[in-house]
Amino acid sequence: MAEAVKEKPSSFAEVVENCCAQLRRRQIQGSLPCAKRTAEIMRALLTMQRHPDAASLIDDVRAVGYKLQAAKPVELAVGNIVRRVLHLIREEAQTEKSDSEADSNDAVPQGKADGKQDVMKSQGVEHLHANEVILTLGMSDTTYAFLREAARKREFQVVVAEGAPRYDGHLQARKLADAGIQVTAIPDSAVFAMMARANKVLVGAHAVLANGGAIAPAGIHMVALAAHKHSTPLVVLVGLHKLSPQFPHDPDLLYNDFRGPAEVADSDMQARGLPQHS
Amino acid sequence: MANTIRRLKMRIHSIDVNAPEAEAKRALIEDIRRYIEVQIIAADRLLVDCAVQKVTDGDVILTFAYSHIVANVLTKAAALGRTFKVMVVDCRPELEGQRMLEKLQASGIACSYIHLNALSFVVRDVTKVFLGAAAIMSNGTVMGRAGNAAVAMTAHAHSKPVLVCCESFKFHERVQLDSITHNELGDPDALVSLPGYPGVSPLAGWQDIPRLGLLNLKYDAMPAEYVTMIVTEYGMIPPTSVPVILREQQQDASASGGGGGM
Repeated sequence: MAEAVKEKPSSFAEVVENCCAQLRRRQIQGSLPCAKRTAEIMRALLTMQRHPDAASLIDDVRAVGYKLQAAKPVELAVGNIVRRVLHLIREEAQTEKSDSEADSNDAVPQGKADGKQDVMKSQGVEHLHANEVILTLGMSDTTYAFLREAARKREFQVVVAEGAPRYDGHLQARKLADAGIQVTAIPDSAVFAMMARANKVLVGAHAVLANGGAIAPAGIHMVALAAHKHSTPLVVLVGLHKLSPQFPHDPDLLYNDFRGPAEVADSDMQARGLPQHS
Repeated sequence: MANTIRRLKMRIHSIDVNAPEAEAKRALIEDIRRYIEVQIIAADRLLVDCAVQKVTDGDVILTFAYSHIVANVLTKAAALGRTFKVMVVDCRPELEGQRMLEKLQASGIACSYIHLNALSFVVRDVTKVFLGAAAIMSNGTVMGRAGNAAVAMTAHAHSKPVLVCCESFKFHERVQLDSITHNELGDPDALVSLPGYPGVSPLAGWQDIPRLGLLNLKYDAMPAEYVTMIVTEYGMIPPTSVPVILREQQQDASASGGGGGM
């Protein structure tokens, strides 16, 4: 979208519409890419349009934010970034520096990525001790970075549940093994059995809500219940852009995304379920 | 299985040493046939008749993987004209739920099919859970296909009744605390093969990676607190009554001296 900023004919509304279309079509996947994209849109809003005062800027940012969030309601990172930008604008307006608005916005996407990695490096070693068994589900870049950093100083094992029907646990297991960590890959059905052996559960999440609940890929509720039953600590690793002030009134319906049934039931199975005409 | 082998051995021990071989063999075969008839086939019939009373009109019944006894209960209930829906929960790598789905669909029952990970989303609409078992320990712990315990745990967390259908020959006096002390390992390569998935799993070639291991557990142990009721051929009992049935069976076995009625 850097081209859109340079080309004068392409209006800001088109930029926003392009982004919304990409979000709807799931062409931007993952909280961090969505967050970065939203921050870029916000920056484009500031550079492409002049605003006389903070109030009109806030109105514009809010309008664009609603549009972007409506394009993908399940992606809470979009709303979080917009709220962050609004907060920065209000702060700047209070200190009455009109030309440093653009600078504060630039700091938003960079600061996020750097801050997260520093946090991992410092805390990974503190929370894991030697000869522990860590259980995790599926693939999470945050969890991968956390474990890889901790493995530099500690010797531990990781049990990875595959996370069907995405099977991203396979990728996580392979990456961790290639990084030199002892890994065991298990199917999701064995999570309850292996929880008796696990000392800690480390997972990533899609978003964390205001009541402390986490939205994460399917299967996490079962892992959490099993951890609770075996009194195993469950740690959720998230970047700041995933913390949302929303409450889950009915999380399974409001913040959920449905994929095609072909991943679970192939077409032969589905055909058997149709009315049979002889 | 250990139960059955032990009884067979007891029966063999109790054979008169002087009896001719052909006659002894005939008696033994007759006992085995009677064991199958009484403990398995007749028991299944009684169990199904007992459990089918618990299927009421308008039920949404959850079941996991494949259990021949649960399939029989549900097909019998459909044959009796009850209207209900079934939610079949399946899991990797065996995908036995597909076999259950075929059997239920053949009986004209309306079914839904989900993977184990989607259970917490659908369990709110479920009214009852019917599960099978591989064995039941004397403290009420139910050994079942891996994933059974997770299903019962989720159902319990949402206050849904869990009924375990299990014949009494599967009761065992051993106590098992967790799933790992006694278990069976399946083929680890079954985890690597992903039918219908585009591309090859990153786990392919896992034997060559020194730090990567695959574990395919067959069974898991469901704690007794998750079980509402166990349905046996003797009727419906709570998990705490399992040692009572075991004691009665042992008394019967010792009273008949290991002969007749095995």
